[in-house]
Amino acid sequence: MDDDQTSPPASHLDPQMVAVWRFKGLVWALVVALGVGAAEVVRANTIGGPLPGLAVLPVALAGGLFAWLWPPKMYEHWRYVVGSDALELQTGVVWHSRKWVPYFRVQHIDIDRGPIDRRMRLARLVVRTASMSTGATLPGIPEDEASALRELILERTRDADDV
Amino acid sequence: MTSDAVAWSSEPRRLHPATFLFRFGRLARQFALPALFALFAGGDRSQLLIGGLLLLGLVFRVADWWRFTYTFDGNAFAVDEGVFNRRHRTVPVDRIQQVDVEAKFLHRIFGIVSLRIDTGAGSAAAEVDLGALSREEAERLRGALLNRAGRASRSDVRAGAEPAAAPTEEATAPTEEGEKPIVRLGVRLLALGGITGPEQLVMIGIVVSLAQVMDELPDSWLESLESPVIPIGPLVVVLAIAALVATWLGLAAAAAIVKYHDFALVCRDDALHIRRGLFDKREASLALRRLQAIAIDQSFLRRALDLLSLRFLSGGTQSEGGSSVSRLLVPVLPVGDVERVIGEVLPSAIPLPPLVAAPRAALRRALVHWTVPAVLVAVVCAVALWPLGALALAAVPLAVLLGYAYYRGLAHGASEAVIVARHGALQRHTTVVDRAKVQVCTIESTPLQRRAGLGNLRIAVAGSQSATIRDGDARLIEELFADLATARRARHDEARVRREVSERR
Repeated sequence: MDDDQTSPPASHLDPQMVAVWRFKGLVWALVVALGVGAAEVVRANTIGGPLPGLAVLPVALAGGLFAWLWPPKMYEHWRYVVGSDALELQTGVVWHSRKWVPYFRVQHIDIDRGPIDRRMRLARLVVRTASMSTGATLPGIPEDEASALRELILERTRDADDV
Repeated sequence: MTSDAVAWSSEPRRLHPATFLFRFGRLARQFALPALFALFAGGDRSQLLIGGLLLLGLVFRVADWWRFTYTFDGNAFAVDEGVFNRRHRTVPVDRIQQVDVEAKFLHRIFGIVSLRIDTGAGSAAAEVDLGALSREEAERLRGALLNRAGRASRSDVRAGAEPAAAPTEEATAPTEEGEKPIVRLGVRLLALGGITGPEQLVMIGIVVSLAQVMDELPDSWLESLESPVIPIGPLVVVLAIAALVATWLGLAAAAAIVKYHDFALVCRDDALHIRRGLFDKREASLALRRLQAIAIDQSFLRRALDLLSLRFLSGGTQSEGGSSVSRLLVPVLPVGDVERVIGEVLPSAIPLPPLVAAPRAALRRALVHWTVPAVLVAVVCAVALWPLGALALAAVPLAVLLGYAYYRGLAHGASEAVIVARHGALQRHTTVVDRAKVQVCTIESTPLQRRAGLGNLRIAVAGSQSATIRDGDARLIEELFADLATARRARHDEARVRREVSERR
């Protein structure tokens, strides 16, 4: 990575995020494959032609492969820094994105936990500012660290407010 | 602060009784058709039913009006409403972004106005919508809301002006003490703005509805057109087209004049006010410290005429019409005035930083981006619809030109106080962002951009607005990003100073 030299020591998300992303990806691949399969069955019954399955298999294979291979890359590229003045995120395998969220702009922090997150004992930290279009989301934080991290960010937000 | 708290004892107030008249009017309109139907077609019983429903509606409206109260204690604005389902809403004063006062034509007959408060909480509608207040009440409220406590607004002086008695009097109200005029737009400039501006869209709507009317006309009328009194020659056709164009432009100009009649942008009590309108009068106000960014838009036509439009962005959700607060828009302004106006509103922004054009690599990108789809479509058309489809190939040079224009439009600039980003092929959009208002910065790049050494920098301010430097030199953007991240001290101080100022008041 060419832009890594400027970034300070960065944290990764919880390694279990790979499993979470894989699971979500596989569910998506399944849904898409089912959709394609249904379309194929309809096609075979109305227009005729080759047996259903010709398109489903490649689609399912490609989707499954992608869902399996992509999350480790995403994980590798997902970094965040809880700096002294700002939260910095670096994401994206293909479309790189670097985000800088100063603490004194933080309005509130949400901790969301979906069913998969709960099972994996993970939490999703959403840091919001007054800007509606951009917030910072840390998708995979270990459950027991999430509230500590929130407290840390809130404390720095307060410090930044007081100076 | 204290004086204000006294002036605004926390006793609940009601809207002007005329509210209920207006609301009942709406109800009556809804009932008009069934009522007519019942009168002429229905029997006694259905007449009774309609009458009963109408009465019930009336009672409900009165109860509604009675239950709707608002309270302001100097710190928070509270609204209680609801007959069966009660609702209590509180808006802290320091969250208020924009206050709109509007006097619709009908309202002006009764001498009342409506007032809207926006906090930028994310909903498209204004958070508080007070349907009808007396003018002096609205002005008092607005003054207090914008600078809580602030200096007493001079509304009491103005209270004598009866809007119903003299609608033009308020329009040409003498500049008040402490009011600094920044922009006034005369009829000529407004007409020019209408001809070159978005009012053209309104015209398209009118033409479409006219076409529909034409469809409805009896055929005999059309036949009479076919045997005209005047023989149709080339001169008549030219004259007719000229008349049509003139009418078109005239109506567009008239639409702008009606909408922005007697336009004034003034600065009073550390707040920006925009007054406008011939029939429906609107006054939008924004505390200066809430100003997030300034957007400058320039259509192709306006670029040729050295005109532009200016928008002041608050942290709220401004939009046109509906129940949200209106845009703080200067519909038309000569290019020469823009620096002065920005200087009045955001003094630190002046002088505006010189704009740096995007690097050459961006030109290649722009050309590819515009030309490739055009070539694909044109080739498909040419092959599929040969020989006539070959005409589509003419779109290719056009796309090349547009790509070049897009590249020419890309530019950015940065000074100590502001960051300026510009883009747009035909219509150019320039955003001036106050550095002190930056919320979140994001650098984004696609693989193709990285290969060309380019990147995007998105600078988000409060609300839904952001400025994006597109296809900037990657290193320059990186520097700016780092600069925004390290200049936080200054901005931090800024925030503190502002907080202190607002607390001391």
